[in-house]
Amino acid sequence: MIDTIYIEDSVRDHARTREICNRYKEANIIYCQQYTEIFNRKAQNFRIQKQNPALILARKFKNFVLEAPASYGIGGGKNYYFSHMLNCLYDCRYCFLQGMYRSAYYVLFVNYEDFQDGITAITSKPGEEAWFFTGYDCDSLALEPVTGFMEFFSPFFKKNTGAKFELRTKSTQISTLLSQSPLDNCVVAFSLSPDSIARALEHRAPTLEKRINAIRKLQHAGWKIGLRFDPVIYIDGYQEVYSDFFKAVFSKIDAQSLHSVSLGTFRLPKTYFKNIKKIFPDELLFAGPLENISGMVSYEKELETQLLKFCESNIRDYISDKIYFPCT
Amino acid sequence: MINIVCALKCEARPLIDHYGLQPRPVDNIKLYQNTKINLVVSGVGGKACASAVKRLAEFQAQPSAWLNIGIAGHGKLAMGTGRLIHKITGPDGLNWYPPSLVLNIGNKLSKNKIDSISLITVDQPEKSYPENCAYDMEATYFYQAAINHQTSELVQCYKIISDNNCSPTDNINAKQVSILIESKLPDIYNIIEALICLHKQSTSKLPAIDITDMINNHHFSHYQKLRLVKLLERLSLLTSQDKVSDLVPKLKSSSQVLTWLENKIKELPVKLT
Ligand code: SF4
Repeated sequence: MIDTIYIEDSVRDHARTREICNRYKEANIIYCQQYTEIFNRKAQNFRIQKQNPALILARKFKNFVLEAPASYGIGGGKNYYFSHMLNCLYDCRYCFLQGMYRSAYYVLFVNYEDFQDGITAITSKPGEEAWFFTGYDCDSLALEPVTGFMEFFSPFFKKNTGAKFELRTKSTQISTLLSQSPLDNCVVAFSLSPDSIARALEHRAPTLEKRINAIRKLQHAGWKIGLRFDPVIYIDGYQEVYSDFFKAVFSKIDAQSLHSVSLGTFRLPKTYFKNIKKIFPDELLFAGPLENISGMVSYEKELETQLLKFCESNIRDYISDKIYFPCT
Repeated sequence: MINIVCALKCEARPLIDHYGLQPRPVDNIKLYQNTKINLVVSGVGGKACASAVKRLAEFQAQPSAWLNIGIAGHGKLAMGTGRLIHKITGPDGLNWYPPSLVLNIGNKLSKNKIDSISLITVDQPEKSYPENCAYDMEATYFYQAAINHQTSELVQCYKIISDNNCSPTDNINAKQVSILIESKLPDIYNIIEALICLHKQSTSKLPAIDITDMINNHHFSHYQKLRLVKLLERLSLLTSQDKVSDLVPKLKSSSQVLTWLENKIKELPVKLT
């Protein structure tokens, strides 16, 4: 799967680097001074690189934990995110990463301990409840067998009961979670889309059925589950597609024990949208009824409102209002 | 299409013969070509190489993939060893990393694995090979010039070891160089095919929209022309038809044309496949 590994000089001897290199004994190892020599340089093409991304092992030096965008909250106090990794195993056509980066290589910051210090620095201050989101610049679990992210962070989450964590994912890599008792302060949030939409747009991601199976297993084991219907996509006949979808999802999982459900439509900052359209000019999603309002590209207002209202009223048939969070 | 740059005629000779490349008179470039390959002989040294890349790029309407083929020195590798280059260090100490995708595809095509190594570009021939890497006089200049015209995944260097600690640079002659390059034609073929394959995949574009008739019939402002092209492209994509301008009925003004197109697009089903 990974043929080439670039290694920053600063993490050449890091234990996590050695572990990963041991896993990929056949990989071509190339050393560099800084990951930025390779990642996101001029004259790179996300679409070509995505065919077979290399892995870059690097050290992050600052900004370990950042304030999350406003739309990220699920009812808690202050929201933060941290990204131990840039880029994703999956290839969702609506993903902002394609527009943000010119490079599709995976960058893994192996100094996990520094992220933990960043979180501790926030949680140790008295104040309101803090939520920490992972899976902003990557999928939280998709590369777990390589990154060992949850294996390392679980004990930390367990210890930091004052903080809350959300792992956002489409992955079925849940064995690390299933091998331990559920963490009370951790929510595993699955992004779900109707099967036909997932097949058209969420390339390389597990099918809806597989995601639902993963949710069922985690619920059975006692993990808190969030559902993220985000982005919902406007297509002709969306009413039937989405009502069948919600019906199927809520009939297969335990809606009563859900932690949270959120809903949002397709939206991208204009500059990212332009970049993505350039590399995927023939993508039908981008030929849809979109408009640019104040630098954000999303569905034409009237259609967006119809779509959201429809989905919202459907979702509310299955869950209580207390756990419903629309993304704005 | 692929552009190959060699510094020396003796490096180019086996390729010219093997691919049946014909000389093409172009100002200031020694160009040889067939329907798939442009080969330019740049002359020795970084400046000559960079300027050959620039001139060839300017001469082309569409950007092509780029491949630098040539000889290099290496302290340890045996003469005749062929290697793709995954890291290039310039005389200024700056590093460049040609992406590895071609290597992966090349290896899938090839019976023999094509390995890759680091390379240092020097301005004077290197005789002592202090680092465990290849030495040449062009790759940095080639790479920097070529990525001005093409995405870096489609810019690669392939070097064949012509001198090492046992056989110094002074021993090399033109005939030997041609023999060394010729012995690597199977690898070169696989690299060329890999580059062409990647290039094809990277150039998925919408069909070119011809608005000549429309702008002859009506006056479109600059902004309206841009809008017209965008709407026609969108219509083409949504209807899977190439010549969508034929769909537009005879109308009185440019703004009527634009409104017709907007309405037409609104009527079409919104779908993803
Ligand atoms: S799973 Fe998330 S991060 Fe990964 S490609 Fe899809 S949208 Fe992007």
